[in-house]
Amino acid sequence: MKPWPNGARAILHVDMDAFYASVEIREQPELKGRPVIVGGPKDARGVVSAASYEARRYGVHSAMPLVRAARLCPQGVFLPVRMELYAQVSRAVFAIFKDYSPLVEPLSVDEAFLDLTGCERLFGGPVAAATQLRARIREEIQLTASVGVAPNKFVAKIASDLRKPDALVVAHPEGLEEFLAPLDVRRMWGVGPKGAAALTRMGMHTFRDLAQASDRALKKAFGSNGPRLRDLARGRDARAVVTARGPKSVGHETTFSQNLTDRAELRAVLIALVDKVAARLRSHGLKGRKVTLKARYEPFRTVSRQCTLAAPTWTTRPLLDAADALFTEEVAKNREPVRLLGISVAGFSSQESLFSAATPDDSAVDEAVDALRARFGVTAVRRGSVFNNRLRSSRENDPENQTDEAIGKPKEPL
Amino acid sequence: MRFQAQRARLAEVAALVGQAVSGKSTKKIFECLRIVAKDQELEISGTDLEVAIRYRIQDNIEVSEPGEVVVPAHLLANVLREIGDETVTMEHARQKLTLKTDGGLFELECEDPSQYPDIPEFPVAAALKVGSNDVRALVRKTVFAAGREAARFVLNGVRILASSDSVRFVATDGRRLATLSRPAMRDASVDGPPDAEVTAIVGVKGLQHFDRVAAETEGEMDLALADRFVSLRSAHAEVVVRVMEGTFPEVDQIIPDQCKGEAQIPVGVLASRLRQVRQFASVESQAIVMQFSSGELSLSAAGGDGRAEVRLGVDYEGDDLKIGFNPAFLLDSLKVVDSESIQFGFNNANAAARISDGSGFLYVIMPVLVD
Repeated sequence: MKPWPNGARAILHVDMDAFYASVEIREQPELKGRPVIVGGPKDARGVVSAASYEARRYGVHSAMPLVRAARLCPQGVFLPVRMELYAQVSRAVFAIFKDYSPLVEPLSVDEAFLDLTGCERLFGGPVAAATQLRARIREEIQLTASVGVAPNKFVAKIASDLRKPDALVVAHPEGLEEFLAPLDVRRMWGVGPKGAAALTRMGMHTFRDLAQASDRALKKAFGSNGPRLRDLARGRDARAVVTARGPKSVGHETTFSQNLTDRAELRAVLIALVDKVAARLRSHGLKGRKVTLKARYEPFRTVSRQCTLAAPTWTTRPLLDAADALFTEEVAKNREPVRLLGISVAGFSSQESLFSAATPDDSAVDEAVDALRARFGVTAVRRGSVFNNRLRSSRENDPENQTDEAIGKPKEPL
Repeated sequence: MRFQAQRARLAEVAALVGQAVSGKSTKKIFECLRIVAKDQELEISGTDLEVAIRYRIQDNIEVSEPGEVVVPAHLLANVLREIGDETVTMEHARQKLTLKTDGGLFELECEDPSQYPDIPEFPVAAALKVGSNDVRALVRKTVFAAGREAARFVLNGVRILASSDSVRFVATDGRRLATLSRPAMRDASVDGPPDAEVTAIVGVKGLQHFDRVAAETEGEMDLALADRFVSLRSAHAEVVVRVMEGTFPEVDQIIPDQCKGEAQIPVGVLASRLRQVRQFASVESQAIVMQFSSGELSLSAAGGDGRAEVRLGVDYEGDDLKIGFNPAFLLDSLKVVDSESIQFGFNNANAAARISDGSGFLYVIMPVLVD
């Protein structure tokens, strides 16, 4: 293997293979070799969070409704999402990343960019480092990861995906265009089925075609984004690895196993959601001022309502007031059955405010509640409105039993 | 109505009054100004119902027929600016205002003067005497801190507090606050109520007109806070501003009166160093970090495009402290201080800091939380 040129950027994209499913198989070795589908019971209304490679052979993939997955793969092992477990494993994986570079940009719980530029002496070059890193993940975590090594983020991400699972793919800086040239245009960022069809009609099938395309043709197909796509197709991407990028929003939503019509019951769910989101904001040290309520009615009509608070906050009370006002304005005024309810807070600012949105009393209540929950668990203290409702509503409708991904990471344009 | 006037002054006044009149309105009359010609005096006024301006011209006027007329403000101001004549004659007849110049004729369509909004008279009984320079300082050193799109609507205005011997302006957008106090005097010729403090909230636009009128006035002006209006008057001009409804937050409790650390910092050096470093602040945080240590202040910022750190000598003795700020908020205050150095007071990294310049100007700024 050619040595990495001195001074060239070296970016690793590390992607854990079928992460949630692989963690479940590690925890229950008897599942090895079976089609494992994480997301919930096969008759649940959620979507697939992860599918093992065995399950993928049946056409099951993440974000597919569980019901459809069950039709495609009736013999599949359907498991609920155990987010806390995956988060714990994720922390161990990221700890290994940190041994290789201080510049780690997480994309999700199981995926990250590492900038290894200038580390030739330390690990014997980026390729040797990637080999080591994969071996350590296998030995210490008992999981496999696919790694792409390239001079930039875009190509590294493509490389890691090229021979998944359990693969190391190197795109050497010399010969980058040759590496990319034969690839299918569908691997290009921003090219979905429609874009691919458009490209095919224009006679463009590979990265090579895209790299040689004229400005006019690209503008016609992709608008002002066209020239950028050509740069990417030629392997040009100057974006830096950005560490510790904070979340853009913190939210929580819950899909009901049965549609809810009772507005009082829905309001109780809303309160529990806000309670949870506020606690999470505090634990992340984030204060936000944009509150969004999301409601999905039957059949799949989704509406969201947003409002802006006077000052960013992480205190439950003002968030609850805002969420309740949105609820009153949107959900409470109609009678439609609701299948999903969610609340999220964005517009984070670390700029402190002269006038707090909360009274000192509100903050003291939150502090006390957080402390109790830290010691005795989340169910140690609850709002009365939620508790009363729990006597009547089914357990599945309790957001505390839901484990949806709560932190919205910004979508990477890859 | 018929009069002759000096063109240059008339053009100037029409332009100043025109600034209070909206350029586009659903009703044509709200795009107009009003001219009243009476015994050797012209009164020109305009309003957008939030701010009203009234000017009097007494010099070089010849009124041959008293009367009043309402004409499009911007059209009149533009015509008067473009014609180069020394004097101009205006005549109102049959719904038209005719401008006669040496070799020129302009006809402007008029509106019905009885439909023009009334502009409140100056409430003499409530007046205080304030120096025109003080009026300018009050405006200039506070309005910049007012909110622009604050969710609490009153924060888009400036609070005025007047007592028998002082006037104070307070403006805040919720993240920083600027306040200045200036001496004032109750007009001795007027029997007013005793020394009760009166207060009103007014919009920034009206105060900018205060500044313009004060800029062309020497000496004292009259300021009056009435129930629904705040008025400022010079010998020739008057600005009336509608009061904003609402409750302004009590600010005195958020101005720190005790500071654990205080540093004396040269204004020019601080401003230039801040401008150097702010380029590097990250888009998300928009923050620079100030780090105080004995005799030294370091300013630093880091973001996706790099990092910067600069140092400057300051007069400071005390514990080391690291505190983050939005550099734009710091620079805003440095632009309006008159002194060579500022007093910078702070308590800790998440409590309000205080900037003062020894002239009664006080600026309170909340930090940005940094790691």
